[in-house]
Amino acid sequence: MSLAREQLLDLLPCFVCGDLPPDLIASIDAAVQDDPDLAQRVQALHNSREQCLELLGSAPASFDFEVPIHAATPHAPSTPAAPAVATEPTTGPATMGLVLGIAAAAALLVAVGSASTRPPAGQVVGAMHAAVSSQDAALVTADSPRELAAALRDRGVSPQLAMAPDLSAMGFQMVGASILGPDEAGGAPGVAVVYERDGERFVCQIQLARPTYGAPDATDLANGTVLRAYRTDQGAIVSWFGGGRWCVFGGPSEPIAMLELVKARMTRG
Amino acid sequence: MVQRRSSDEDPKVQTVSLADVRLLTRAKAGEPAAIAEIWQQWRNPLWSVCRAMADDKGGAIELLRALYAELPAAVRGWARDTALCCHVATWVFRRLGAILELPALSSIEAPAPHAVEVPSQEEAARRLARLSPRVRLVYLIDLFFGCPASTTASMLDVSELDLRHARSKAAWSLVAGGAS
Repeated sequence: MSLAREQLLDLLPCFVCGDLPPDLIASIDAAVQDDPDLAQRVQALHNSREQCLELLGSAPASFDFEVPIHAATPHAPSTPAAPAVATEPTTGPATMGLVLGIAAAAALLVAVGSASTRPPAGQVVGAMHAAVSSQDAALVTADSPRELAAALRDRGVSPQLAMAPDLSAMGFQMVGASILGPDEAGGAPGVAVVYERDGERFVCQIQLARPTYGAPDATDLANGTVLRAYRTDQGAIVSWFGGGRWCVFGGPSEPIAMLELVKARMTRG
Repeated sequence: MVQRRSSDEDPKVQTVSLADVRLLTRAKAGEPAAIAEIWQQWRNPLWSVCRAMADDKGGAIELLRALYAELPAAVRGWARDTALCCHVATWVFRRLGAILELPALSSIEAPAPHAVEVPSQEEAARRLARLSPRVRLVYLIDLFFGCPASTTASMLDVSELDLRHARSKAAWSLVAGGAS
């Protein structure tokens, strides 16, 4: 399909957000390869989207009208209290607060009961990284980070999470990505992008819920962002919060080495 | 979540994840934890949209508070065969439109600028604020919820072309080179 330049310009904003039929995307992709002005426009539109996501940030940890964060625990429905209040015709904020408060209390009891058996934070995330970065893991693949981000969007990943950082300058070869369900990503959706360097695999995980808890093994600061490192069975992970998302980078290195790696990426690009 | 495109089929066909269907089924049954889970999944994007639509942080908190209060009732009307992100996007579009008394979406021209640039963070904030509220809202729901324009238009009963033009208008306004 061949498009006139005016048509191409009309379609570029929808092309950048991935909301066009596949044949149109292919045509525009081909045109962008041959036209530096179009490529610059695509880059500018893409960057401004990222900038807006960054600019508007994420919500504070809680608001006074919300029930405590424990209420969002996805396994709370299995508690006995939930069905009893579920049939109440509730609409107002006060009633919602009440029913969620009961669910929160039940969830909290479950959480307290299991706290003593909770494994160290790093090990949980590390085990998940080991699974998604194993040689036989089924990954979404693409030829470039941009195409991988588009492929993730095509599979229903929200734009806030559908991203694949380009780490090629640091020697990391992108392998593919795995879409994480709430159970794997702390109660909210996430994405894990797998990279390879010198035959070893690393994972860049992006998600909305906090991935780690407890005291880290080491911390550092990069551009005002706190980096937290945790030891895992396979090496270490580093987690931080930025742009409204939680990020985790993990791989077969010591915590300090992983901190330095992430800090180098954040401060020098 | 929604799959924007199904490569070999009608581009308007969308698939809904089983996890979304299960979550929505529980929420529609009034299960508090399911409603809380939906809120938790979407509270950050909802906050971002409220933040960009309100005059200040206090106003944004009031908007978010209204959405929080209305969510349990809203989910009851959400169909299981539609992606959650589209339900949330169209619900926000309707509710914020009503609360802020925004005019109906109209047909607008969205010509591409002669040159483009990525503005500074401050300038980006100014440009976003200068967009008409309705156009800004269209851009924001696409940015934060990623629902296809065809689905959004169908659920809102508005013209898909008008939605796409509003989205383009906002996108080009944000990157227009030189004086904007």
